[in-house]
Amino acid sequence: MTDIVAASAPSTALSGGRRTAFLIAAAAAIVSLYPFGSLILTSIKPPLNGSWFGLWTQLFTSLPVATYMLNSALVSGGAMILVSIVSCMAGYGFAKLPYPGSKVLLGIVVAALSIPQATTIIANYFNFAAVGGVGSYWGAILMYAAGATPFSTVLMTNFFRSLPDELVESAIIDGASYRQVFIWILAPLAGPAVTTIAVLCFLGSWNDLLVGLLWLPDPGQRTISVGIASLVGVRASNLDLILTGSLFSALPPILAFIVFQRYLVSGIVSGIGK
Amino acid sequence: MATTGRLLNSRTASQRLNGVLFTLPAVLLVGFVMGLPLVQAAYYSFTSWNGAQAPFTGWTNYLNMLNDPELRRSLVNSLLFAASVPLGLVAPFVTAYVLHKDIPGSRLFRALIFAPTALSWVVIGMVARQFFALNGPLNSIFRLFGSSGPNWLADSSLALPAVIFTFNAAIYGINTIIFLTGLATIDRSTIEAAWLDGAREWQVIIHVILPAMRRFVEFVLIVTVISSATGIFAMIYVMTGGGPGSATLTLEFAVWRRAFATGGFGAGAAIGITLMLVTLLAIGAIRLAMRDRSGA
Repeated sequence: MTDIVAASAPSTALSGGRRTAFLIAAAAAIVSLYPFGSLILTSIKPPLNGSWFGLWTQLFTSLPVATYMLNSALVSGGAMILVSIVSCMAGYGFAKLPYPGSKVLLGIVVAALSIPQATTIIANYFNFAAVGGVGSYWGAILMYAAGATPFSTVLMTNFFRSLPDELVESAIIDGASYRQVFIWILAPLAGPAVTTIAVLCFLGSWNDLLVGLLWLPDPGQRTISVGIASLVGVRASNLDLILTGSLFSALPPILAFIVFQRYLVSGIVSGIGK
Repeated sequence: MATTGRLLNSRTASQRLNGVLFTLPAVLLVGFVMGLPLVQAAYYSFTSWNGAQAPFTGWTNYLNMLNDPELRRSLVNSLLFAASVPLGLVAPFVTAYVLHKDIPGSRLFRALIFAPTALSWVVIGMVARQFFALNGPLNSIFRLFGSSGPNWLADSSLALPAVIFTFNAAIYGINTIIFLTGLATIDRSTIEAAWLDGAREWQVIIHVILPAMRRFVEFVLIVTVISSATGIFAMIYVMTGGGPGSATLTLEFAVWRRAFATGGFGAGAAIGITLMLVTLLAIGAIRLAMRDRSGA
């Protein structure tokens, strides 16, 4: 950990400036725990006439949360796998196998980054409905995967560009096909980059509400975000139960977040290099 | 020579063919789920499409952005959201700055500050709903002073500030971490030189550190404005549903309300296109502003 500012300032144990810095940082860290504290305390405290952890019992008996979680896992996992394959392939193609027009196509993919989901959601809804994609998992999976594709493709293209061209050329001269180069040489090197885009896609899809609301309206196909959000208004009085459900719904992303934290930061700031 | 040439040509042809095939799935996905619907939305924005019929209505939908009180409100609200972003970035910057000093526990603090980023907008919205509830934690502070406190999310003048506050609080952690990443890239010798010249701390921050972090500040501004405009449907859905009335309606949420709640798909398409244009304009304005400052 380098320290720019204190380097030339007097750095005795905890000088005035550093004590203030410590207090600010500590306060910020404690305030940041507020949502977790609020969720956990609410979920374990007894509701009226209830017992400790009564809300958890109520959650599992009154709502098909296991089904909701499985639905979320299915669409998020599907989108994550699809976008990893598609973006990895496209990154290889754009970075190492240029063809007439490939630069324009990459430019279009980059431009797609700035199309808000809300701008295309209506036309998408009708297009998907026309081919049976509304009310089926594959429709939601395609929506999530497509939403993550521009960012992921740009990230993978930048990654493959950072690898030397000789890696591809020498293998081709040795008689390998472009497909073999991809599968046996380049893809194995892309592990960290693919992990980054996979985790970001998973978190984005798991945490989505709009596509889930529209594409999977059937209660049996409902995702956990939709399941929780649709309780608002229906049972406005039982906010505590909804918060318990919210905490439950957040467990997979929290786990993914803890395990893959360093990939997230590198992925998010990767856009700054350009 | 001829053989080598032909070999190279066939290699180029094979390389091009493979290039097309490898990029095809991504291009198709983006084309069919983003490009095509964008063109369709642009077309339908000039119609009063109701799901069955789409009679051409010219600029009516766009004029309604200014004439229809609800849509005008959503436009203003979206702009207020974007305008709150620069102010909302002060806290993340200050936090990153103090975390960057060599203080004990900074790794732990950093992890805790980043942690809420794991929570979805649905969950954030639920926590905020409880926080601002009539008998919620915020009003319990009011009760300490003998007042009952307002019903924040049901009050048409307080709901928007509450929602904007929640948004800025929710992106505080991730922006702190991005600023920290930026601080780590600064060459320490320039800062030491400023210190040796007798500059005060705030002078070093304004004249040395912020200019050196220009790209990071620009990135955070753009990403945060984009997410305020296009990424918080879920938070508003669970916090207020755009209400009371249209007090917390944003352009993004108005698309949902007009199109899927009332069947005005042509109007919804026009709101969506407006949203995209407003966002692009905001990004352009940020780019321009940041360029001017670097030239100074």
